[in-house]
Formats: sequence, structure tokens, C-alpha cells
Amino acid sequence: MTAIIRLWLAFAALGAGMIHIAVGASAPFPLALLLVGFGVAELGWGVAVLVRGRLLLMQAVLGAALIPVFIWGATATLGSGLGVAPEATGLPVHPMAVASLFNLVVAGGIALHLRRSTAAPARVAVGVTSVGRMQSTATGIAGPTADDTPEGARPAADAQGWRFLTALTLGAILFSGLTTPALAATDAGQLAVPHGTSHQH
Amino acid sequence: MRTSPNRIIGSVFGVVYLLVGVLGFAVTGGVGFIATEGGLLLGIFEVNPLHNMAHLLIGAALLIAGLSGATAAKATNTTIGAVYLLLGLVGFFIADSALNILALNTADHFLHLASAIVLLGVGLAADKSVTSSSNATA
Repeated sequence: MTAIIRLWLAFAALGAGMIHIAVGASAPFPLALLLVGFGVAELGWGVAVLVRGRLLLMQAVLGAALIPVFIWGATATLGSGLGVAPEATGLPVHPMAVASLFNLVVAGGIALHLRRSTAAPARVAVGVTSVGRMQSTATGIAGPTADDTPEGARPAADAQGWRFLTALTLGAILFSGLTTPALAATDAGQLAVPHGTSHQH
Repeated sequence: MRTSPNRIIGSVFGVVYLLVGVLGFAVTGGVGFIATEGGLLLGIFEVNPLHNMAHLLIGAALLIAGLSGATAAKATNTTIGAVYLLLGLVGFFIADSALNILALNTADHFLHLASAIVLLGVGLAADKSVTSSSNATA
């Protein structure tokens, strides 16, 4: 996986985290706890991926990223005819839709990566075996010595150059363009509007 | 300079923020230093004098670090990116209160979030060899 894809997955996690925290701030108690908890976890994972330069806890994150989407779907269902008051379940549509989009991007990106990396070991194993055999012959040490770390677990070496900077800037604009209106549509964000003079007084 | 993403981004953002800080004073005549309602820069971004000063300081820090070296640029980008990310989030929660001493509006939040992501992204993800070599020599 390239550094650019990893960067965008981290951005998506950061975006989902910020929106979940903002939505959770005004959600009813059990939902607030869940959303803020997931938000903090998403922010932590996004920063950790950027710092470590590799995808972390892929299997766990793949499943966990879909839980907020499921929670949103469940609350929407409960609030539409199953006897639970809408104010007890209702989460804002726009912010949750954007956060869910980010969650799906994270889950989809990781799933694709895992699928590719499961196909890779067969090819890598052949190379490792032959390299290991050659090196053990030369050094007298048995066993494979090539880097058999899964591709996504290797730190990034390609986070350089104009291509990376362009992708970084485009990713930031896309992330902000989606996240800011979503944050503005939360209850917390709507309180911010009266002080923005970009609207009509 | 040309091979370090942190130095490039730090220097470019430094110049832009210095420019924004200077231009901000052109639209904040008569606005209180920490007024919650400021003037509109470029007709979009709301600023007050304190906000302008913050832009000048941040611009100077980014530019100086960017011109100094990759280690300084990486540390400064990461720190300012983290502060902007916090501001982008916390700003929404304080905007309708007297705590909004930077006269933040939604356009400001957009700019702060975009800046946060670029600075934090480049600070955390790029120039990893700088940290490695620093640790190795320590």
C-alpha cells in the first residue's frame, strides 16, 4: 500500500472521529458515550497510522469501522415506527452520512489491502525461499532472511516528493470540504453560525 | 530544502499565514482586540486583531522552522497542525460564547481543518529518516 492511500485512510478516520465527537456531544446519553468513544478511537487510530507509517490493527479496525454505521442505521430504524421516540434516537442525517462515508472508506481500504496481501504471501514465499536458500548457502545460516513482513505493516519509505505533497493537499481539501459542512450541521456547529458573519443578520 | 516535504510545506504555509496576518489588519479597523464579531477577510474569513496576531506568529514560526531545517520544520508542522485540529473541533463548541475570542466563523473552521490536515499529515508521515537519524546520533 502506498503512503498516499495510507494517508487518505488516516484522514478519513480523523474526519469520522471529529464528526462522531461533535454529534455525540449533543446525542442522548447511551449514544453519546458510544459516539464519543468511537470518535476518540478513530482520531487515535488516524494519528497512530500517520506516526507509525503503516496500517495498525487491521482486522479489528475493519470490523470496528462499520459499528458506527450500524448504530446509525439501528437508531434510524428504531426511530421510525418501532415505538421509540425520535428525539431519543435521532442523529443528524448529514453529519452521520459523511461520517459513515469515511467509515466505509476506511473499512473498504483495509479490506482491499487485506485481500491483496493474502494473495501476495504465495508469491513472496517463493521469493523468500529462494533468497533464503541462496543466503544460507553463502552465510551458513539456515532459514529465510528476506523481509517477510506483510506489505501494509512495513513503514512508509515513499512519503516524499511532489506527488506525495499534491496528494496530501488534495486529500486535505477534500477532507475539509466534507468535514466542515458536516460539523456545521451538528447541533454544536449550528450554535457556531450566529457568530459567523458570512450569514445574514 | 527541495527534498524535504516538511520544509517546503512549512515555508509555503509560513508565507501564506504571514500574508493573511498582515492583510487581516486591513479589515479589522475599529474591531475590538478580542471581539467575538470581527471583520471579513476576502469577504469570507472572519478575523479580529488577536486572530491576526495569531496568524502572524504561526506564519513566522512555520517560515523560520521551514528555513532552518527538516527537524525543526517537522516538529513545528506537527505541533501547529495538532493545535489547528483542536481549534477546528473546539471552535464549534465555543463559537456561540464569549470564549470565541478569535471571532471564528465556519469559513475559518474550514481553513483551520485543511491547514491542520496538511501540517499534521506532512509532519507525522514525511521525513521519517530525520527522526531516525536524530535518534541514532543521540
